[in-house]
Amino acid sequence: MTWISLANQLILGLSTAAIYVLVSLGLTMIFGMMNVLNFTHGVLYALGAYFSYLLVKLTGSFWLALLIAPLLVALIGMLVEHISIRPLADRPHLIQFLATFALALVIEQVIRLVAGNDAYAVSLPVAFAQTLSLGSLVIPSYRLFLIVAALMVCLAIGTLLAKTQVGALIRATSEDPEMAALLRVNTRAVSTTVFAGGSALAALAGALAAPVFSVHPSMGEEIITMAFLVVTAGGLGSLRGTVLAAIILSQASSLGLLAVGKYSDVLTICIMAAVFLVWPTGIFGRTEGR
Amino acid sequence: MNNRLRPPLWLSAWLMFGVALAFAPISPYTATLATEVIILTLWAVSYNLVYGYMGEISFGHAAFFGVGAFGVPLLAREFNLPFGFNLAGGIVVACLFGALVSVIIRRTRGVYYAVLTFVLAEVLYVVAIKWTNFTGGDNGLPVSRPGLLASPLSYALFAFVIVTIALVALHRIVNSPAGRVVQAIHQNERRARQIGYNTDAYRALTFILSGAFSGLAGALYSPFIQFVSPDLLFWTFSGQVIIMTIIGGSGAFYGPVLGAAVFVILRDFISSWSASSAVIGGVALAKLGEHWPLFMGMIFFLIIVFEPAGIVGIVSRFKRTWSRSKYRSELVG
Repeated sequence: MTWISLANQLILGLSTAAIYVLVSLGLTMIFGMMNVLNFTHGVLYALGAYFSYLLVKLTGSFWLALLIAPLLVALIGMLVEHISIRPLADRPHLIQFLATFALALVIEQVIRLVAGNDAYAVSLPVAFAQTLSLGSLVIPSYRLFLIVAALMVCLAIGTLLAKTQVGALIRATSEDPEMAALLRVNTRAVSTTVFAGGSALAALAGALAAPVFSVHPSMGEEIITMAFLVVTAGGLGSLRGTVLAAIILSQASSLGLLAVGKYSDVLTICIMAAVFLVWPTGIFGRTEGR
Repeated sequence: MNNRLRPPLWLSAWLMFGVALAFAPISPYTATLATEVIILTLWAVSYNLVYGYMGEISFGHAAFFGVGAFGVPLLAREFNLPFGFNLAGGIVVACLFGALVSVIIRRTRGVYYAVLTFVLAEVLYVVAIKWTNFTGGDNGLPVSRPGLLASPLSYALFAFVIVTIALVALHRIVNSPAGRVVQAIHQNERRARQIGYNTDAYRALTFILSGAFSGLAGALYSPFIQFVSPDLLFWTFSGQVIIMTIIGGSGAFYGPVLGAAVFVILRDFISSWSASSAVIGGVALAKLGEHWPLFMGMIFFLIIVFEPAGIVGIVSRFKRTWSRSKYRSELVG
């Protein structure tokens, strides 16, 4: 009996980790590129969910929504970068961080203005609407799909960065932008691409989360807390750290539910606080905090 | 500095504001608005210890404010303390929380500092939401104030006196030798450490002091709105004090005072649209009035991009052109 609830919580935790990983990967890649923590990431996630709701309603296809919503949000991400990061390029990074905070406020209010304060529901795609049962263990198949989807995205990003020309340009630019620019890399284009890609990942996470959690205007400000926690605990700019932190964090909260009940969130954050006591810049962070 | 007894200009202006509050015939509504400006002024000025003087962004100052605000009804309920002790209790609890957080963030800087304060404040928010028996959860708690302070005007004057004392104390602190060290750390921490200052200790002390005064502001706030809820601990509320501080100008002691005033008045003005029936460009003004953070966010963004020194920067820019034109007219005349 207990191992079933344990396995249940484990899978539940992993599927939450899947969402966290997708949101946080974009955030940490953007940080690795321009040293700015992008506060609009949460509202971009929310926008992804809203667009997917809209597209599901218009086209009836969940998969089409999953494809188009990230593209739309990537465009918005490029706009955000163009008006908040670019003009402030020679100012301290914390100022750029505050500028994205201001934009996040604005975008969230625009969402509320257009879509109202109500929550919307997106129904599960037909292929994953049923549950799988293994003996007495019952798993919603959409949760498994989330885990597989996140794994596939991680593999795709890893391959892109390690094996392709574009990946080499991205790694070079985030390592040493000046040197890359001297070697005639169009660093502006590269960082815009990364920003757009990161935004698309946030939107993908939002679209994937939409059927599980409802679509509501404060979903951005809820996810950004977790995303900040994940990327800093993993070490800003570190992809493997992000994945590791996302798993620790979500498992602490879902397994913690068995141990301490409704205070599992508190337990989670305390574990993370302990991480920071040992590694002030996160598990795989650079030693000098920037 | 030829006359140390002469109060600085901001203090004279502030005291004149207090006199006007006491003697001008103002409506209860204006008194309420003034009280909010007074309390948020204290919060913004104490926030500026960390932001303007030490040069770090804390994204968790709502935790201090909220601790102070929750302290008043909780201490009254648990220990049956009289009102004044509740205020002091809020400060003490805020200090303790600040000390705890300082231990965790002692080696973090920059972005990590912002995120860690953000996240640790979130712990309190989650606890406040979940621990319903103690904090009332989402429903919050009612807060009573003593009969003597029941009217809006009397509470405004009470808050004014407390905040004035706190502001003078804060002014002394930032201009004390220790305050200078903190400013030196802002400019070049490594150098300050090499001279022999224990920079970690100064940074922690600044954070705790800033938190203590924020706690006092919170403890004044909950009897003012006669209600306290976990919203006061949420990070969006921390964002508001950042906006106030930067809009006003973090480079001067009185900057956040202006920021708090502008913030409250602007918010009140925009919210007042919701009673209007006008339609501009197809959008009902009443609907826009509910979305005051939209405008606040835009103004904040414009300030960051075009005038990072805030209102203080705009004022000094005007002063400069004015004195230049005066100089020129003297030359001509």
